Amino acid sequence: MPGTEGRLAAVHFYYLLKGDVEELHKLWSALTGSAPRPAAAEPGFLEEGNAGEGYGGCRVVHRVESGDAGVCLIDLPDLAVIEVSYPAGDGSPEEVWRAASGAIEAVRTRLLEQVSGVFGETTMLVAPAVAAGNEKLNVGIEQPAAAAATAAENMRAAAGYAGPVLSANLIPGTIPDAAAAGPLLLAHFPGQSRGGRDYYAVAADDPAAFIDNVFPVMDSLIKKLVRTASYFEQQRQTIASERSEVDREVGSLLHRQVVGSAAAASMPEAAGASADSGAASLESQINALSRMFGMLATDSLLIRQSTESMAGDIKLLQGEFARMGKQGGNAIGDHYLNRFNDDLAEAKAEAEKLEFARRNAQAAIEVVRTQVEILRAGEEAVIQQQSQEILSRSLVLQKERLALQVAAGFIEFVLIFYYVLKSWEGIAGAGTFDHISRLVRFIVVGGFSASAAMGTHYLAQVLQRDSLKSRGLWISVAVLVLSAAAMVMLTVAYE
Amino acid sequence: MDVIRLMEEAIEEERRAHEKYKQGAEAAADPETRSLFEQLARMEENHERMLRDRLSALKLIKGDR
Repeated sequence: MPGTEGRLAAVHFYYLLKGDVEELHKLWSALTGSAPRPAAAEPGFLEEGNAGEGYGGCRVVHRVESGDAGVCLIDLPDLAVIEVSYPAGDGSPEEVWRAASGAIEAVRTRLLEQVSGVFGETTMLVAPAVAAGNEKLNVGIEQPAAAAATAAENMRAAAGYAGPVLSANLIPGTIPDAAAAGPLLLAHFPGQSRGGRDYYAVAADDPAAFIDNVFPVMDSLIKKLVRTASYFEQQRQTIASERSEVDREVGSLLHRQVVGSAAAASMPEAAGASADSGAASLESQINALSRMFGMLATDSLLIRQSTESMAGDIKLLQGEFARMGKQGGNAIGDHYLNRFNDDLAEAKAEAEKLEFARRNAQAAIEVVRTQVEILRAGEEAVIQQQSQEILSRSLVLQKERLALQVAAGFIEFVLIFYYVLKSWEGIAGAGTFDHISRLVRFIVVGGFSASAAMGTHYLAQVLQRDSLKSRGLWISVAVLVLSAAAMVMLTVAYE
Repeated sequence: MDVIRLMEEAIEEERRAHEKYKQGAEAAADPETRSLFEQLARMEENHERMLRDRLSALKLIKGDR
């Protein structure tokens, strides 16, 4: 820790997301008065360091001195931390802390006007293990079980903080990289926490390793969990409201289905009359239910992400507190872990309710779909019946048409027969015509008339089909021509 | 459009609006107008903070760190 060969008065931590490179550079430049090296590249900036992977993924990558303060860049798994250490001047602990707090406030007020992407902050007061006028604090470290609370209370009062004090007594030797710290007391003032800023106090003979390597890991996990838990709580409330709405809609829809089915069973005529509008209404209900189902599926995914993310971070935080040990009770760990576990339990309960609502919506979709199928089956039966009626009517019409055709053909035959016979007689003359046998006349004129009547029938068919392929037509034409030729030849022969 | 990008743009707009209202408060001659501008500036600041909190939570969850 730069400039801290003497004792420290306070440390202020600025946490930023590692992705907010520009803000990180801006903050570093504002604190140190120099551009970061390498100048612009984030990976280089965070990789340029003098330490490998440290405790809990924590790694100090830059250290510089800026005036009296030491500025240090720490790389964490998700966040980057800029730690500013303020050395203790002369005076009583109260005076030292007051001066350091004033310096911190002056710097952060100036900085936060320039940098807006700070994820969270922590102010930590550092108490010397041996401090004039602070005997109770030493007692607290040596006998943490009972006297730690008194020591922490002294620090709280000296710092002017209100609200409860939570403390954790760390066992020397159990924390890697912090073993040299010796007995160490950490106190937290959760009542002071506002807008992502927290307050702690630490007392130890040499707290440097703890401040650089252990505390940022624990504090960053708490900050991340507070932020994500708050986000998930807002999501959960919105999702719970959506789920209640879907539950209400599904319940009301199923109720309408049941009541509607009972009414239709008691009044089949009325049900049949509204079959068309019923099918359209059911289709729109299926669409509405499908939308709700989609919404619930998306909500389920969000809640699952929430619980997984929180469960992972809670496990890491549990690990951190476990490493610190539980001598005298770890009130800070209990405070936060209980809070986050409650949030996680609520998220899990909401996930179960969502799953139930999703199943309900699915069941409602099946119910409505079955109704649509029943309605469609009924409609198909009606359509089949109507088709059969149409076919029967068509058959009757066809028979009537055939009878009319036969009648029309017969009339046509008689008319042609009469007029052809009269025309032949007129053309051939009465003398010639009388010489021709009556049977021959009947056969020839009958053949002509019949072929003319049949020919017109076949011609009509040919015109309808747009094709000259008609055997009947050609036979009729042939008989017609032969009959006409016979009339000519007979007339000539008997003249 | 990407929600994170959208939120970043919204934050920038809130910040600009906050600056504008702050300038308005400084320029206002009468106390009532100054008070109105100050109130609006505070509102924009709150919006910006809400958006920033949400954005950082989204980035943490989505792993954009």
